[in-house]
Amino acid sequence: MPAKPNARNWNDVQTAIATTAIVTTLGMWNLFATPEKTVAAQTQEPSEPNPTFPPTEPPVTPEPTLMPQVKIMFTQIPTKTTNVVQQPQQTKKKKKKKDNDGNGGGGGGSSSVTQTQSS
Amino acid sequence: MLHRLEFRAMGCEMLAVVDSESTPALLAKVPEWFEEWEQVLSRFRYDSELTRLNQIHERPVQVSDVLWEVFQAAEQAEQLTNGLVTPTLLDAIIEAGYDRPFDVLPHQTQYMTETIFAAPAPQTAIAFDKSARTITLPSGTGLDFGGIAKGWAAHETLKRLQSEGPALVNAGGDIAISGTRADGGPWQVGVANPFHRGREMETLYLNECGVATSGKDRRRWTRNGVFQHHIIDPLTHQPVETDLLTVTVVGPDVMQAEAAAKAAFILGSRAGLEWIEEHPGFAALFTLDNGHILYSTKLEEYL
Repeated sequence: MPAKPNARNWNDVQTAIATTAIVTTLGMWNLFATPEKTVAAQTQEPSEPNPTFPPTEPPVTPEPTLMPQVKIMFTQIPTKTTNVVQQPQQTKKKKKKKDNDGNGGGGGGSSSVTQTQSS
Repeated sequence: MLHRLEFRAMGCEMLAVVDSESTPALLAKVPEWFEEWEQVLSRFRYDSELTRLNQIHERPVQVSDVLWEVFQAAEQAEQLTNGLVTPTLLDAIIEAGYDRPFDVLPHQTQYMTETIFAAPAPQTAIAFDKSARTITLPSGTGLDFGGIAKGWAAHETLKRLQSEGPALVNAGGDIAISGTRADGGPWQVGVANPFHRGREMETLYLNECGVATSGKDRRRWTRNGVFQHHIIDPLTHQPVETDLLTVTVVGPDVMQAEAAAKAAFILGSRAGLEWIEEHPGFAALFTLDNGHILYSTKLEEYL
């Protein structure tokens, strides 16, 4: 009995239909799925932040200094107040000295006659 | 040769110095002068002239020469500082807990109630008659001269001691200097380090001028668990809150220096330094809470 002449052709048609369906599906996916994701991302951006999340503060921009005459002696903020004592005394060496002005000596061990302090 | 006299008055350590070869006769009288002035100017003495004045409102009261001069010095300080320094904050300083001499002020002061005051009246609201030397306090207003009185006392003492030779008077940190020392050199004045008592963080070389320091490092106490100090913001009626720990000012005289130091302290480091730079007669050194030290331009002349 001779083989059916169109059996092979039917299989080819099925394969062609399946291939076409897959290609079409992938094509449609690439065509529509990516823009949808972009749209979704765009629509989520302006949404309100999670209320439990602390509100973000606006970026702090350093204000221009209005004190051009200010000289800051310390370059580092001391972590302990004890550092404060040593730093100004070290920088004092940089300042001009007037000890040779012939002041004739002050009172006691310190060269200062007295001190000013908050009253 | 330096002749020094140290004594205690007005709740502070006082020092009078005369640079002279001979013993200055007037030096020994300085404590008497301060006692006399304290009896007039103290708000802590129930029988002082100031206490009596503060009890009389809405009618003129003739005052002594001393009180009148200090009142005028206070008026000038208020004008210089555009009202930042005013003697009319008596109620506020008492409400903050400074209601007795600081020596006997408890470190922990508890208050059961909060009192809210109206804005203080500026000194310009106080009526006075220069020819009759009378002062009329508005109702509810009292005077507290505070540092102005000490500055005036230092200034007045200096004027009297100048006949003995070059002199320096330190009234609790407010310093009046007559001129160069006998050998022509400057006076060396240390700026106390507020973080370490007894140490100096800078030395100033000074001639005729005044120096004063205002700050919250010494006269402070705790009230209901909150630190208080004696420098009152005239706008808020509360101890002023800024980034400053102390302000030292060199000025034409000690009274102006005292007023400028207090004004700068109230303004804070940024506005305070701007204010100092706008007033060419003053130089300043600011110590911030974080330990930074700021110098005004003019202070370089004294270092």
